[in-house]
Amino acid sequence: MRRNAHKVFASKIARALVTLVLMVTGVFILMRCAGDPVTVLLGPDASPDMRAAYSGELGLDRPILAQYLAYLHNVVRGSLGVSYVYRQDALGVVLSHLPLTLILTCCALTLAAVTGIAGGIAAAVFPSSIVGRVCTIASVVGVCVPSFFLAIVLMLVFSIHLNWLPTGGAESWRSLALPAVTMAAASSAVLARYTRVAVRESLDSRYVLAAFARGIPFWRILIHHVLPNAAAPILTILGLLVGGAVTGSTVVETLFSWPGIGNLFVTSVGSRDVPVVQAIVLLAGTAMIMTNLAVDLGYTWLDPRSKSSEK
Amino acid sequence: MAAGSPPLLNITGLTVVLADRPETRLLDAVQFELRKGEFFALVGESGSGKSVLCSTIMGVASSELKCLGDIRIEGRPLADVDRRLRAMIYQQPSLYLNPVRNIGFQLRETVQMTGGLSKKEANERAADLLCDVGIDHPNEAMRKYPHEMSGGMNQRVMIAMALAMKPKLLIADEPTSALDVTTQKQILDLLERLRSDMAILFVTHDLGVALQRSDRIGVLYAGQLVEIGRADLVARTPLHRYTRALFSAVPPLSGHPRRLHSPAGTLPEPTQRQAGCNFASRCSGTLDICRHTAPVLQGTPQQVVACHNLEP
Repeated sequence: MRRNAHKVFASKIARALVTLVLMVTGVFILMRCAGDPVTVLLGPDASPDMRAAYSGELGLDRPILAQYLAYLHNVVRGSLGVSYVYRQDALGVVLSHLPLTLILTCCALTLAAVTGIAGGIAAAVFPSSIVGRVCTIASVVGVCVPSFFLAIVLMLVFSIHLNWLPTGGAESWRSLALPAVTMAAASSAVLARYTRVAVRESLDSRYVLAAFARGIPFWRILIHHVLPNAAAPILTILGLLVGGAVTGSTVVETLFSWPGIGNLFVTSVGSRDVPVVQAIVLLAGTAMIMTNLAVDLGYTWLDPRSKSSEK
Repeated sequence: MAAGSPPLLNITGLTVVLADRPETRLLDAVQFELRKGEFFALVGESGSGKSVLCSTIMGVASSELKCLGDIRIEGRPLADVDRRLRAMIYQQPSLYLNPVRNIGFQLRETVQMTGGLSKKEANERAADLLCDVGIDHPNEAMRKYPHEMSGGMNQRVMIAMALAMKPKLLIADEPTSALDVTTQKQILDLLERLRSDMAILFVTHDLGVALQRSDRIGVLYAGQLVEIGRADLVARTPLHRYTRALFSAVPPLSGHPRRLHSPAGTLPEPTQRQAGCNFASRCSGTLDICRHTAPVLQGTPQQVVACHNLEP
């Protein structure tokens, strides 16, 4: 069993590495397709001599395969080029924005996980009570309302009407509240819906019926039989939400002028700061792959069946 | 049958209907009793209400059903009876075991329901129970998950769980249908060995098993108990036309194979059942009275039948 688990672990890591290489390649190809970097750098009015000089300097006159290998070499060394705007290492620029995004996403996801899972369980366990109905309706509304709309409503109520919280910035902990709630709302609703379905399915299963017939109390069945079975699908959704949060914060960060990666991404795209955009895409992709890996490993821990089904 | 001692299980006039459509009857005035040490086989085709009867006795019937009538265990109504007096095993044991918890956890949990046991004591008791049901390496088995065990092994675990509560009534809902013949015999022998301490209500499709193992057979048709009697009598001289049809649909083991008979028509859906005898639409001896008055069970202590027209 133990050796088998190691094998599973190794194959998952190998798969993650292959995905990373494919992603880096994809970024390279897309960036070449997006337009001639020389035109972007020098503008359309540059003379042919200047263009040739720049191409030579940047290595763009070399064969495409050589360029690709050089790029790969740089990525492995951790060098993603120099930002055109900040005149610094692109990765450094991105990483300097990372803590604020992490604070925002951690708060939002914790909020979403707690409310979403609790709400989903309540909706599944008490489907016809007031609590269950409220949870179900709230999750439908949460999924339907777009975050930009919710953000504006929250700003109107809490910032402009009540004047409790600032509309943007990241000066104090108070400015964290509205963006975190906005971001959490949709994730919480999605999580609640999947939790409800998973818990309901487990509650309707025969092993739960048999546990009831053995006279095991309801709360014990819920905690020891239902939730462990419902955990795998919940973990899947949680993983997708975590992986998507790094880029998913773009809209919320822009709306609340939260100076994190999402905000940087939008401004960098606007100013054609290709190395920074590239670094963010790689970072977001890596985050996604890492969470997927963590989720995969989580399955083997949660569900003993996945150990023996994986070869 | 020892007269005088109160029956272990006594069911009178048990009618189960859909809560929102009371005219749809899944069980109709079911009436029988079980004594300690008795092995009672309940036979009937799919949809006849066997499983509804089991879950009603277990007290885990769906909330969409409404139960009328009286179920008593040792003379006390079901609601006042300790749940541990009755236990149930099922047709597909692996579906009734939690897939993400190991055998030890589930068995220990059930053992601890009896109260007052430390984890270590519960563990020892669980191992003893697994030994009792014929699992040779109980400590190894307790570390396994249901998917790592065979169907027969899982059924043994289910039986061990049932025994953990020291029940007086064991309901076995087709416990051997999903098992191969060798395992089937082992499980049946195991149940046979356990019966002295309890009564077993054995639900089955298999008339051979019912005849071979049980003291009495009850025949359920479309929610009505049409015949109850000593196993050999019911098999040799079935009184109800449905019972006759049922036994004539069993292929003979010896002699020349013959064409098997099955009664024309199908089991009426619960929504289409009329007043009177549910078998009337398929019966060859239907009288006028059959269509509006349900017959009641009557006969000798060895064999009772619910039929208005007993002429052959």
